[in-house]
Parts: sequence; structure tokens; C-alpha cells
Amino acid sequence: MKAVSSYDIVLAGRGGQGVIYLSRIMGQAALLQGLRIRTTETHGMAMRGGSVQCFVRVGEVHGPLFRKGSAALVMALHPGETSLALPHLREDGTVLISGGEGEKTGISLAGSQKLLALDADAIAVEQGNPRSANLALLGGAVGSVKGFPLEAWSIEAAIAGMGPAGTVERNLEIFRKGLNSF
Amino acid sequence: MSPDLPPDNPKRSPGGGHRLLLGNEAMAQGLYEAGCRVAAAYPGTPSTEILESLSTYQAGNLHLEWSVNEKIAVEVAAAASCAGLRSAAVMKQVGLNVALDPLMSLAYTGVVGGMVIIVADDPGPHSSQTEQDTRLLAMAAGVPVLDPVTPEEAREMVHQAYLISERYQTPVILRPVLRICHSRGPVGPVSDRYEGPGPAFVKDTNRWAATPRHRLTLHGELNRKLEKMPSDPLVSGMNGLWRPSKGQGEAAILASGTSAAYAMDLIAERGMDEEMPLFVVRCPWPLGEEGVVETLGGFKRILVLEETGPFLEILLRHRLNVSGRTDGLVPSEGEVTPDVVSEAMDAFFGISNLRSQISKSGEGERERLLSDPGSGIGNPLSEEPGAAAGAKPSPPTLCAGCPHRSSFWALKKTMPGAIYTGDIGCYTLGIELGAVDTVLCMGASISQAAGFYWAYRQSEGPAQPIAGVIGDSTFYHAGVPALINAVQQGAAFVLVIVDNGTTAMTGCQPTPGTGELLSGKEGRDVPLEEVVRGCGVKKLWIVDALDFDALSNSISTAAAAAAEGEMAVVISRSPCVLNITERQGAVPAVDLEICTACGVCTDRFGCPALVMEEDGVHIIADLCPGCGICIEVCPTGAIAAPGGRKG
Repeated sequence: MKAVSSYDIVLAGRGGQGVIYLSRIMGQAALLQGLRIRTTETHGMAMRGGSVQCFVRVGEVHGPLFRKGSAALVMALHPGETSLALPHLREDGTVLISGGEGEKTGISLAGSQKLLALDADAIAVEQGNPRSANLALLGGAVGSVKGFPLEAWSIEAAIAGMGPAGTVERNLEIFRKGLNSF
Repeated sequence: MSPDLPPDNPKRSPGGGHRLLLGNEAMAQGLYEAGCRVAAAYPGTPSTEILESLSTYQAGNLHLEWSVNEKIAVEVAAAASCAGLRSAAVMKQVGLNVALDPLMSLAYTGVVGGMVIIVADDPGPHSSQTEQDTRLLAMAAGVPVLDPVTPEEAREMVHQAYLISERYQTPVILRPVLRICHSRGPVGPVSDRYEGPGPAFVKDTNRWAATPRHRLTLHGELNRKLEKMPSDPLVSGMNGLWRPSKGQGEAAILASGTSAAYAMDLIAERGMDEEMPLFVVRCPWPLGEEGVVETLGGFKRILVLEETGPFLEILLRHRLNVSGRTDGLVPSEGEVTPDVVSEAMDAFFGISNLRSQISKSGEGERERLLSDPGSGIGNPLSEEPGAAAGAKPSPPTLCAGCPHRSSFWALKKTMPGAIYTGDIGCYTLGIELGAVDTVLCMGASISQAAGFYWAYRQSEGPAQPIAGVIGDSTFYHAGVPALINAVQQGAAFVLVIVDNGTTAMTGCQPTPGTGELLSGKEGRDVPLEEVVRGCGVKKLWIVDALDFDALSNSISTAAAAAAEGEMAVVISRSPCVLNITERQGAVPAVDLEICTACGVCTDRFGCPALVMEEDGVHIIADLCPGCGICIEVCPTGAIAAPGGRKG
């Protein structure tokens, strides 16, 4: 394996799913943990419901992008976006998709890659805030992905700090449900 | 503020008041700290958030504006600098094309207070018409340009740019690429705002109103500045080796911008600081060639990594043995990603070179590189993302309930067979409805429609209907002179101005039509219809974009007027769905007994709230704001408003 200097993550989804918001929560959590972080995102035309990929790097790096085949984790907020993100995944990386077990079919992995599914939408709907499925998926990553660098306490602090007010309690609950799903 | 950039230190610890900022927000912080007093911009991806972020700082002595276009933004800011204040103009790279006229002349007259022009390049391109390299235009104008490696550095370079600007009385361009603007990193706390002198314009017609004779003198002064700058430590100090190196050997890398950042990461990852010396250029123009040659002259070959064109490569070609785009190691178009950098470095250093260097150390990573250079350095899935799985990115689309979709459908229905000239904005996506045939640049929908009109007037055949579509913000930006021209020349076509009362594509900035200002204060509105009439248009219809019958009738009547030789304008007005607080109407109902699953509403109309399932079309109620246009679109009458037509 390469001399790992960063933990690289791809967030894949569609415009309007809160992909960028998710990266900001992760960024804030990393800062609170004293970790260096760099993220990059797409704006403009792609925001109109198109595919959105956000790259997150936790560690001592300069550039916001990384080579294909080097992400430790792909988090797909929309299962249909998974295959687009797969070329970025490491040979021993993990894919975490938002969806039921049924959504796993049709996603073909290589090497020792691992596939996990979490029905993040169902959790978010059940808690009364369908727009926060992204936080359920983040909870799932903390709860199930070995080596994931962000911790529950820092993410909860980031959610509490970034609001919006009135949604914090529900969002924390959604995050915790995701965390305890595995 | 120290004129020197802090040494590159990846271990600079976050926390301690660090905030996770977008590169654009980091530059806004720099503008605030450096005491910028007048900042003007036109929104454009990837530059938009700079002014938006600057507007969140509480500074009494700061005028901010969304100018009507980039030329005006540069002129407004330049005048403030001529009066001695620090100013900024901000735009995307194609905006500089619009602002090139004042820039070229401003390079001659110079400024007094510091002036920074931030121009965001878009290699890729992700959200632009071109991949143009602003450094070439800076060179053409004779204006210094800075190229940041990281978002944090972009903030520091704002300070640096003001110092250079004031020392040499010249505007300075700061050229971040998209991956600087739209990446986030930890940025240190806000420092105290610099308080510069107040306005004091000193009249000097030989400078500020120079006639051609004095322009010759000014050109000479500009050339002297450009000769001096490269040896000034303020400028040359920005360029140098990333990490200490022996200073001679087989090969080295010279890089700027994010290409340098990726090179740093790849060198660090491989532990090859010594084998791959890296020289970073942060001021590509005017380049202190002597300094570069002094440092790199001892190397036989130099790999140049930069975006977007071979700028440094061409500048240094006669001094150093350079590789990169000129010999095909780096692709001539597209973003320079870590994969591109990695492949170029592999090809350049060559496996035999690697072997000789690596023999000094026995780390497993190096062994692996040697045994299988293709697998780890390149990409195990070497296809384009998703190619193996046959996956395609989901294309962007107009929002559910977007009034533009109604306008395009009405236009297609009432003027089938027309040539549709399009423009720049969300409504470029009218392509998917088959109602946009051309997109050239801001405002061109009108002048191209006129050009088609004059071309077809020369033909003997039946008259060719022509319809242009332009958004309100784009109309104010560059459509007004085009419309005056079309009217004055006697061109006759239909122009639909899709007026959603905002600049939607870039995140809903106000237009002159709303009277709203960036500061949040009320300004004066400049009503669209008054501008259109003022351009000399006699045939004008103003219609609710969601009243489909009225809209179709207006376009139809306008088409008849155009056929009679009149310039006919329809303002199709309805607020952007991103800005509405109340529903447009009720969610329509689909009668699955009647629906034949013909696909007209899902494929040709293309509203994302409509999905085809086995038993016919379904409407996703959560997505549907209730515009009701699909009721008009359905050829079988299967879609109806609950409780009657149009709910």
C-alpha cells in the first residue's frame, strides 16, 4: 500500500441532497479534532439536480483532489451515483450507500472492497426531517467503517454548531440512529 | 503584514481560531483585512462567493456592488484606486473578456491605491464556455498575475497583491483556479483591517486622460515597471524551491497553482523530495527568468506542470529544456488532476531513473513501484470514472416548476421550426427541450438572432422564423446594446426575455430589475420593460410565464408581428422557484387509465417531478411546486388539476 498521509473520501449524490453540507459538517468535525482537512466541490450548472461529487481529504495534504483508486471510502447519498464514484475507491476500500439491501445489487466491486447499505432516507423520514438523510449516512460511516477518522462527539458538536436552529435536536437524533444501525 | 508569504508549512496546526473556509471566502477575508474600500463584481462560477462572503464583514468604509457587467466592475473599482483607495474587481475568466477594454488601458495609466482584480479560471471546464488561461491575458495587458497553490495561500496573496500594486502603481491580477475557489481548508483568524488613506484624487490629464502622444510615454513607464518587478524580492520571493535540493541533476519539476499542490502530495507520498526537486512559481508574470534559470539551470530536463495553457513552459523554453504540453506529457485540454500529474511525472522521470534513485532506499512502496509501475502510480481502474460500469453522470436539469420550462414549451409549440438562439444562464438548459440551438456568450442570443435574420433575408425561400431567448440578468449585462443595434438596423424576430427576477444560475443574486443591493439595502429598480421600450422596441408583451395560454398567445402574436417586419419582444415573467415562499398551485393528478406512457411529459418536457413507472406517469408530490404546465403538455389529457383545470 501507499504510504498513507491522508484518509480520502468521495461523497457522491445529486444536486439538492446536501452533499456539500455534509462535507462542511465533516470539515468542522475535523477542525474540532485538530485534524487537517481539505474538501472540494462542484457548484453552478451541476447544482441543478445533476451528479455532484465532493472530495474530502483528512490529513497532511496540499491538493484538494486525489488519484483514482486511492479513496478509503465512498459514501453514496444516491445509490445511482455509486458506480460513477467507484473508480476513485482503493482496492481495500469501503462503499457505504444510502439505500436498502436491494440497492446493493448491480454494484460490482473489485479486490477486497466492501459494500455496506444503510436506509438513510427511511431514518430521516421517520425522524421527520427527510432532508437530513445525509446525516444518517454519516452516522453509519462512523458506526461501521473501520479507520474512519471522524468521531461521533466532534460530528455532534459540528451539527449543533452549524444549525439551522430548530432542526438540531432532530438532526442529532438522525445522526445517532445512523450511528447505531450497524 | 509581512510582504513575504509564510513558508509553506503543512504542519501549521488548525484550531486556534481557524475556520474551515472556501477558497473564495478566504480571499474575501484577505480583501477585508487588506482594507479594500470598493469592491465590484458580476456573479459567475467559480468566483461568485468572494463578494457574497465579503458582504458579511461589518465594515463601514466598504462599498460593495454587483455591477451590471465585468467591464463596469473594473471601471468602478479602478476609479476608486485612482482616488487612492484600495479596491477590487472580481469575476470569472470569461468575464475578463468583457473587462479587457478597461484593463488594457488601465495597465498604462496605472493606479494609486492598490487594485486587485480576482479572475477565477475554470480548467475542465466545469461551468464555463472556455478553458482560457487568464495569465496569457495578464501578459497581453502587461499586468502582474499571481497564481495561488492553496486556498490559504490565496488569502495571503491578496495582501501581497496590494503591496505589489501600490509599489508599482499597477493593477494586479490574482488568478485562482476552480479548485482554489471551491475547495475548503482551515484558514487562520481574521486580522485587523488595514486603514489606508482616504480619497484624494490628484488631477493629471497626461496620465488619467492621456492622448496618444502621452500614451507612448505611459507605455514606456509600464515597460520599465515590468522590467524592474521580477528582481524585486517582493515579487521574486514568491517563487522558489519547495524543499531544499542539490541544485543539479537529471531532472526537476517546475509547477504553479494546484498542479504544484498535487506535485507536492505525490512527491511526499513517494518520499522522493530529493529525487524530484520542485520549483514553485507563484508569480508567473512578470517572471524573473534569471532566478528560475539560476536555480534550475543545473538540471538537464524540467517538467512543467501548470493550468491551463503552456504559459511558463513557453516563457522558459529558450532558457531551459522543458517538457509538458509542448511534448505531449501533459494533455493540452482539461483539468490537471492528480492522475494527470502522476502520469506525467512517471513518464518524465522514467522507470530507469526511478530505479537508480530508489536503490538508496528499500521501502516497500518503492519496490512495488519498480515491480509494477503501472498499477499503483496510475489507476487500477484506468478508464474514465464510471466507464467500466457504463455509468453516466446525471445531467443538470431545470428545476421542477421552473418557469423557463413553460417558456420553452410555449416557444416550441407556437414557433416550431424556428431557429432558437440561446444565451448564458440556467435557461441554457432549454437545450434539453430542443428550444436552444446556439449558445455563444453573454448577450449573443439577440445579436445572433439579428445575424440569422439578415442571412435569411437574402434567401428567396419562405421566411425563416427566428426566436432568441435571454434571461433578465444577462439582458442587463450584455443584451441592451445588442437590442438597440437590432432595432436600429431594422431586424425583425421574436425575443423572449425569461424574467425570473434574479441571477439564478450563480445562486440568486439580485438584478437591476429588482432594486435590491448586495448590501441588503434598497436601491433603485430599473424596470426591464422600460429598458426594452427605451431600446426602441414598439411591440412588447408582458405575460405571466405560468399562464400557459396567455404566454402562447403572446408568442404567437409576436411571431406574426415579426413576420410583418417588427422587432417583437415578449417578457415572460415569473419568479425563480428557488425564491418562492408559496406554492405555485396544487399538485396535479394523473389518471392512469388514460395515461398511455407516451413519455412526452417525462422525456420531452423533462420535469424532474414526473417519473415514468410501469403503469404510467407518477408525480413526486415532494418535488412538485404545482406550476401545472404538465397539464398543458400531456397529449392525452391524463394529467389534470385536482378539482378541475389549473387547480
